[in-house]
This record gives sequence, structure tokens and C-alpha cells, in this order.
Amino acid sequence: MWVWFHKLGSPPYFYRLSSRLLPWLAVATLISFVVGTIWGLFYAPSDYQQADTSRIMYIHVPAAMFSMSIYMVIAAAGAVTLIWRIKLADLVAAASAPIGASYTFIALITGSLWGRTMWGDTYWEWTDPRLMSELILFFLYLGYMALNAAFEDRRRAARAAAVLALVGVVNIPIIHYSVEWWTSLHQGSTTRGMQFAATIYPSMRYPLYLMMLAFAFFYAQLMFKNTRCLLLESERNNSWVKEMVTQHDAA
Amino acid sequence: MTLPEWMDFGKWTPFIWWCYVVTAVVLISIGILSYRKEHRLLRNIAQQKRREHRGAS
Amino acid sequence: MRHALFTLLKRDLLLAFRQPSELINPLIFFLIVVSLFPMGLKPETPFLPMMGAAVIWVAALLASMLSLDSMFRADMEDGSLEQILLSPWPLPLLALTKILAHWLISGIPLVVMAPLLGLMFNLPAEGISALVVTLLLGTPVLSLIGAIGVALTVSLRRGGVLLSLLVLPLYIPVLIFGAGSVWDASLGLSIRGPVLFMGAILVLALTLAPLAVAGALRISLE
Repeated sequence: MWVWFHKLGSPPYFYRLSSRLLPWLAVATLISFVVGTIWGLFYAPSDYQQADTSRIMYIHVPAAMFSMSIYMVIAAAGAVTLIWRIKLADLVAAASAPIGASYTFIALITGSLWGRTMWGDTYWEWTDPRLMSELILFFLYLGYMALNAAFEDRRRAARAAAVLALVGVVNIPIIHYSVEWWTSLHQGSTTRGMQFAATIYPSMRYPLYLMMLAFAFFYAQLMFKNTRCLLLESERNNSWVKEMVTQHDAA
Repeated sequence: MTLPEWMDFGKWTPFIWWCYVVTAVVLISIGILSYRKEHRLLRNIAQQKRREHRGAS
Repeated sequence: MRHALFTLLKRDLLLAFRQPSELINPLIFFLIVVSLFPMGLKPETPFLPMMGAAVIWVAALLASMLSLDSMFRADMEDGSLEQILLSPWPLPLLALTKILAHWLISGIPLVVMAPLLGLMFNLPAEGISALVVTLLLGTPVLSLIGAIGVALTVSLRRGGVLLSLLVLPLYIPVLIFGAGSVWDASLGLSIRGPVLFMGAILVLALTLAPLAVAGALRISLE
């Protein structure tokens, strides 16, 4: 286990491994997205109360779910960066941030459009705790990326951003509960639309699982791709990169 | 001409379409960005290497 | 040890009082922001006490953020921050002392000035006392969380806007509970729940933030 961990931490090994994994991930992403979308849009039954609007769920729920998981990945990678100073962990965190921010953005847009049909004439409902938490998560992502970009020294940026990510993780539950308390205080409309995912019919569950897989595969793929970019940038003068480029040229 | 049922906007409301369109645009564009970035980087490094090679010989 | 912390506290306070403008400017900013909000409304709009609570709290957030930069910046520039890092005393405690000094300089004046502004917004007496209590519990949290942001950005030449990006989202719980309980109190409701919650946040920030600040300072100055 530990040997494997250290091997994974070595850049050339990571690069070769990801080269082997990426085509498979691409195929898996494509298949799960296409099948999941068609299944969700055309074959899954519609909810008896929300009619076809519930089909937004197939992208909203996975995006919202993974927007939070990716922040956890960043924080965990940050902890690894701070404790063991494994360079690759920091690159994984930096590579994940833009993907997580995009997922958060998707969750916000789809959530507000879903809300538009559920709540009536408003695109933005300030009383929905999940929408608010997601918005704050989006801010946290932006702050993390801004801090990462502000330092010229990559190693220092990595460790500063790691501290911020850990502070953010401690804060996320507090933010969530405070937002929930706040909305229960000012509650006007109920937010059935968002809670609906919890009590979901089996026939709608499978396309949802498939879309979750699709979002996960997509994340993994882009994470590998972005990490490779960052690796190439920071190690461009190392011998293994040059050797690999020669092979790449020959092929 | 009647639209197939699944294209009927009145039934589905355009919002569903917008959701899928926004998602597709966001995902495809970040995907293209990182794929192109790696491609460019590799080309860049290869060029640099060739230049160094020429300088050495 | 107690002596070292006390000396540091005294030094920071003395430095602040030697430069009264740094002390007073955030307060003036606080006052101006609070009085700008009503001017954005038509004169005949009934100004709700709830809005007053929100406005005062948001302005307090911004004012406390503005003064954050002075916490480590000057010490960084004249090198005394490095001396503090090299000293034999535990860095989290030293950081906590500096945060305490910042709170005494920037937080306390806000708390003192708040009742006056509450009167301007026609807050009922219960609302004003709730405002003072929540500001008293909330402003230390603002200093503590803000210190993490400053410690992370202190080595950057232009950290000002970045600092607000990092810190403001983390301020949201304090804002929610603070403004919420002023509103509750104005309606004559009990505010025990949110006040206890704010106390819990304060205790959590007191224990964890100094550690994060110490870590961040080490990274910034390595």
C-alpha cells in the first residue's frame, strides 16, 4: 500500500499511469453521459407532481453532489500537501478546483432554472438553503483559485491554498447550518423541488446513478488531464519529460 | 407538421433544455480547454528541446 | 511567557494609538456605509428595522475587513514579524495576542458605536441590546477568521481585493446569526438560540484560528 502510494507520488509513474487510464475514462464518460441523458430524458417516467421538470434532476443532483465531493478531495489533497509535502497531491488539488467550480456553477444554474418552474416567477429563491450553500461553495472555490493564482512560487501557493481549503472544510458545515437556520426563520415557500431527490422512484434511480457515474468519470478524466498539464509545466526541464516528448514526437 | 412529443416545448418547458444546454457547454468547454492545453505544452517542450539540440550541435 | 504576550499586546496597542488615523478611518467608513444605504432608497420608503440590522452588520463586516490589513502588514515590512516567528514562545499564542490587539482596536469601537446607529435606524431597545451583544460575540470571530486571510496574503504585494475574496464567504455565518438575532429581538422573540450558536462559533474560532494563522504565517515567511 505504502509502496504504491509513493510510486503514485512519482511524476513519471503518474504520467504513464494516466496515459494508460485516460482513453478508458474517455470512453466510459462518453457512454455513461449519452446513455444516461437519453434514458433520463426520454425513457424515465416523469414525476407525477412535477411532470417533466424533474428531468433536470439528472444533471442537477450529480453536479451538486460532486461539487461538494470535489471540495473534499481538494481539502484532503491539501492535508497531504501540508503533512507529507507530496508535490503530486498539490497538483491534484489545483487541477480539481476549476472542475469543482464548473460543477458548482452547473448546479447553481440548473437549480435556479428548476426553481423557476417550481416556485413560479423567480429565478433566484433566497430562501432555499441548498441553493444558498451552493452559492457560498462557489465563492469558496473562486477564493481558492484566486489564492492559488496569486503566488508566483508554485510550492508556496500550494501550501497557502491548502490551508485555505482546510479552513473552508471546517466552515462548510457551519455555513450549511447557519443558512438552514436562516431560511427556516424567513421561510416563505417550501422547497419541495430540492428535497424530492431523497424520495425517488426506482425507475428514475438508475438513470440518475448512471449520470452520477458520468459526472464522476468526467471529473476523473479532466483531473488527470489538468494534473498532467501542471506536471509538464513544473517539470519541463526534467529528463523524463524530455524523453517522453521524444517518444511522443516519434510516434 | 406536428413535433415529436419529446420536442414539444410546451410540455417540457424550455427550462429543461436550457439546463442540458448550459451543462453541455460548460463541460465541453472545460474539457476542450484542458485537452488543448496539454497538446500545446507538449508541442512547446518539443520545440524547446529541438532548439537546445540545435544549439548544442 | 505571560510577560512576552503582554509586551506584544502593549506594543501593538501603543503602535495603533500612535497612528490614530488607522484607528479612526475604519470607523468613519462604517458610519458612511451605514448612512449610504438609506440614501439608496426613496425618502418615503418605510425603513424596516430588519434592514437596519442587516445594514449595520454588513457595514461592520466591511469595516473590520478594511482594518485587517494592518494586522501583519507593517510588521512584515519592518521585519518584526520574522522576529516574532523566531521567538521561543508558541506562535499560535503570539498570533492570538495580535488578534486580540486587533479586536481591541477595531472591534470594540464598532460595538461602542453600534447603539448610536441603531437609534438612527429606529431599532427598538431590545434590538439595540441584541445588536450590542451579537457584535460583542461576532466581531472577535471576524478578527480571528480575518487573521487567517491576512496571514495567507501578507507576502503578496497586492493582497487587498484577494483578502476580501477569501474572507467574506467565511464571514457569512456570523452575519446570518448576528443580523438574524437583532431582527428577532426587534420582534420581541427570544434570541437565546442564535446567541448561543454565535458563542459556539466564537469558541471554535478561538481554538482553531490561531493554529491556522500560525501555519499560514510560517508559509508566508518561509
